Amino acid sequence: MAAVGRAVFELAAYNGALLRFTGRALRTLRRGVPARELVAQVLEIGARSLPLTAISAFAIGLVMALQSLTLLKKFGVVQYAAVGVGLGVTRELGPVVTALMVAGRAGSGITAEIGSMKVTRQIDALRLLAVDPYRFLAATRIVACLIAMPLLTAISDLLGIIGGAIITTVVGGVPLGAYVDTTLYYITLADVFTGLGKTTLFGVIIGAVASWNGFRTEGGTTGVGQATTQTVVQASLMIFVSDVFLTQLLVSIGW
Amino acid sequence: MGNEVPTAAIEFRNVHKAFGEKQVLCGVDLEVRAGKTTVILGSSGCGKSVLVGMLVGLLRPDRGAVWLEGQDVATFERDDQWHPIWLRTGFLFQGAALFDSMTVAGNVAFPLRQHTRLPEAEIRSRVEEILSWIEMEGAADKMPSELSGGMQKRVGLARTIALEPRVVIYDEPTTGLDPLTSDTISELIRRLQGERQVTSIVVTHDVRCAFRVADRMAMIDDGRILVAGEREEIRHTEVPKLRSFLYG
Repeated sequence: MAAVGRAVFELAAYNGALLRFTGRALRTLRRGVPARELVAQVLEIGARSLPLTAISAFAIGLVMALQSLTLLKKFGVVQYAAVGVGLGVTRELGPVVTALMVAGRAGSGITAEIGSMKVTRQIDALRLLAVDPYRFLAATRIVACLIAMPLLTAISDLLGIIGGAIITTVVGGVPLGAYVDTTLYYITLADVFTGLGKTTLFGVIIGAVASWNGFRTEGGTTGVGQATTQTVVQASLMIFVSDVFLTQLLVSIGW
Repeated sequence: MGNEVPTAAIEFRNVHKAFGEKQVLCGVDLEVRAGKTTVILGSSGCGKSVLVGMLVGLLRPDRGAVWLEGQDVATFERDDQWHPIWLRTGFLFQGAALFDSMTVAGNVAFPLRQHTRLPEAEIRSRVEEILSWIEMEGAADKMPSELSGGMQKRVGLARTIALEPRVVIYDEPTTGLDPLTSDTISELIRRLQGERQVTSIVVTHDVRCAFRVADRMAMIDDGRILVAGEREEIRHTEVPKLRSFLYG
């Protein structure tokens, strides 16, 4: 019982500290956004993650279509594979898988970069050059993740649906026109924007957790490795947990 | 002395600092004169880097006052209080702390881009001028990882002086360098002081560097200033611990 209590207390303390860090970082943007650094980070995070998120989403579209066809063939309604793929990708798998990939690829990169800067005193150097590291390093990366995530997810959604279309037409024998018509009929903009909306929160989570772990890095290169691993684990768990709550919230308000 | 504003550019008054159980500084009193180079000597771990870290907000004293150009910076609570101090105080880190995602030119241009509205062409010209001053004109496009330790220190110095600070603090500027490279760094410190009359503090245990750059010298021992004076006074000191440190 004591162990459970301690775990709950630590979880609350962790989230409180992370929220304070995120708030402190984002408040610095009242002094303006470091545009050059922000653009560089959006490109870096987007470009760094795109191949991975694109391939993952395409593969998920293929697999979802294969699984759907197995079931739908029994009922003779294989054209509805487009619905399963479209809804699954846009509302759930596109955002979540993209977020997990970005957490693993870009999130770990952010922590490694900031953590290395911490242990080699580059963050101290920034401060002593009168540049706020919370603004220059953390805020730019949090906002960059927030911007990059919906863009990456939109590409993931599209590629997932294309993957589903390839399997459904080639393996299921459904004409491409019928697949596209079914997708456009059943998948609404609300489905797409529900998923994209979630990813903005996932983006903030990834950017904040990654930056925070970078800032907390201690103990040389070993510390950088540990911080990087923590980012992937913590960000992934927070993406899953927040997805459950967000989905419940969106369902309850009829989205 | 009380709380009156000192006439010296920098003054430490009764500064105490402990890390856990270890009392590192226990009542440091030291004056640093404007436009002169003061070297703080001491063995490794004696607290000399801790002392200068207090001048720029890297550390806070547990007790005592740290006066920098008329302000007791030990009372500062927020970064915005430090901001004007940082703009006129350069700090060269022991490991140079160059931004490894930027080129040499990017590092030197960084403070200019952040704090001036100079056009890019003017910034490039200033960077070339500073790189020429440290005799590294050809290295503008190199990354820090491609540089030797001595070159990194020189680029660190170039970045430190880009905003033309009035006070420059050097934390172990020659540690880990061979004697010839150390002499090059010492020469740059001397030239900077001579040409721009900056107030400099050099923290080092390198006696050769100390005598090359110092106008005044002080030695920390057992958490206090053991002795302080003009360079030639220190050279001919009769204090046994200092003689032993200087001459073995």
